[in-house]
Amino acid sequence: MTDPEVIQHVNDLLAEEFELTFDQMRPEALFKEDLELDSLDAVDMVIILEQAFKFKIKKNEAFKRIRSLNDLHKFVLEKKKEL
Amino acid sequence: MPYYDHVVVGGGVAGMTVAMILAMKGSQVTIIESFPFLSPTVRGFRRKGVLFDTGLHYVGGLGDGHPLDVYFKHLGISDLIQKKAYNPNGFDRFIFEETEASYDIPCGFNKLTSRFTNWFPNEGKAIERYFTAIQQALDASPFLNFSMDFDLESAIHNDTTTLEDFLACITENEELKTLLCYQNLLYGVPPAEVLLITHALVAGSYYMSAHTVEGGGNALVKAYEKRLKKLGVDCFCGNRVESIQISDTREVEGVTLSTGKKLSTRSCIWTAHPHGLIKATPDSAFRPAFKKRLATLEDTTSALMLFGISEHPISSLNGRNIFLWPGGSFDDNLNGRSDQGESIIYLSSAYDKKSKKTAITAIMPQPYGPYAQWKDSERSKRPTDYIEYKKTALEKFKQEVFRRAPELQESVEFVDGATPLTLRDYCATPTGSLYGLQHSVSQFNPAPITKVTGLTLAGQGIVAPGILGAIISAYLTCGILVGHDHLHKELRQYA
Repeated sequence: MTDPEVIQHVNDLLAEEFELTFDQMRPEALFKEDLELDSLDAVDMVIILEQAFKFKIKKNEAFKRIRSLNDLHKFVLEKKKEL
Repeated sequence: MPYYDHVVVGGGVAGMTVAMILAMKGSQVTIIESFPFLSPTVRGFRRKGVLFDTGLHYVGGLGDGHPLDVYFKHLGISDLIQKKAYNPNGFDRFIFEETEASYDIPCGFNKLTSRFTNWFPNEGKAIERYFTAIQQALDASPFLNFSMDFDLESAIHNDTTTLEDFLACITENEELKTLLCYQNLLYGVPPAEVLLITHALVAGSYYMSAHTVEGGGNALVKAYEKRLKKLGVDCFCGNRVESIQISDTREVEGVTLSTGKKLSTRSCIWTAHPHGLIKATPDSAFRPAFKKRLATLEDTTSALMLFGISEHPISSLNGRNIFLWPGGSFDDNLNGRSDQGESIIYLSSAYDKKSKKTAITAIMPQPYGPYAQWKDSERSKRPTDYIEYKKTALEKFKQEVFRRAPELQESVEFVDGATPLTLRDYCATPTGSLYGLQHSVSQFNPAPITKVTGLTLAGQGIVAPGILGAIISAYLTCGILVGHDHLHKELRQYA
């Protein structure tokens, strides 16, 4: 998967699992303010990403610091490189 | 349709505690329990007139002013139970079977530090660092240190070091490491997977004080029942919650029981295993992501248990438990990869006043896998091939206990046993897990609140395992419902 394909896949997952529209998903969109996803949703997101990309996100990782969709894309790309 | 301010799903320790706290606040509360009576695991059972414990062997932090003591006082059950201290000079005896080295673990941090330093004179620094870390974790937890603020944020651990990583940082001595982490059997997660903070909350509570209750878990459940009755809590036992009604605006409206009975409510507290929540709620209640997550949550392993009777107290088990450790790894043990000969055995005894006999319990971790083929059988109607399998497994376990604890052979007659299938039905966990959901570094357990207004969660899987963990979770969830400050202020009066 190329990087743009990974990003597209992340967006597809968010749309499906969190009932978001693609219009909302600008890279700079903030989870809390723009997408209305809170810390409860963040945990659900961990599981969705783990299942989709076959990596493990542990509690001791940078996931907590993710604020925007762009942050999430970068995090997933980094994790995929570690595989 | 009857109306309740709160409907509590599950009548175990968490559910009973939630109901009690809310009823103490003047609310109309009901408990729905699928078993014919409340708290079947902690209640234990009688065989040949002797009382056996299945859920409560010993508890940590019940010493005067210690956390569990404070919770019990606040709940009004302290006066209804008689606590019985384990031997404070050695409440657990940990035996390395390969070398026959035996260690008696005392209560109290000063005593622990000095005794460990005597045993491992070159490891003074490591020992100091370990016990300091445990104490710091206890002090920083508002669930155990009541001078701290109690809120939802405090349930989220910021420290993410695993126990294994922490121990690797402080020492290379494998025997010491084993002695500092054997309590993983009390929460069912191996050192590589458990957070130091989770270990500290469980092990630390026993380091404070180790007790049981006169009359065991049975007496504790009876005390709870007495209080629930006095507080006017209605209990529907032998009833399952078939469905929770949720409005289009995602608010709880009521519940329907397996008998078809409907209850109206705006608040439902789910203390049963979180897996069951998906089936009990309408498809539209949660987003796909949350449902997927609930479905993938993993439990701790199950166990094999043997119950025996002795006419006389067993001196080695008087006021203490024994852990027989054959070596190997806790990971293999807890994940059911060890043969019986390589598996840890936990031994415990309790004097039963009524029969004047001593009940002996032996426990060994055991995976659910081999028992899954009988998953559709009911408790009282198991097929003969299962009965044969159980008989063989328990006989093998009995021989293993007698081989490794020969002092029991002459005096103990084993009269019954439990398999992961038995435990599945009593603990109401999908795979017979004793502690429910794993609290591990790689698992994100559900929060006490959900996206549905009026639907909250409590229980071992939410904050921490064990009786203390279930009670803490009940207080956290009730704090969300009635206000943390208010509840915490009341607790402080007893601390």
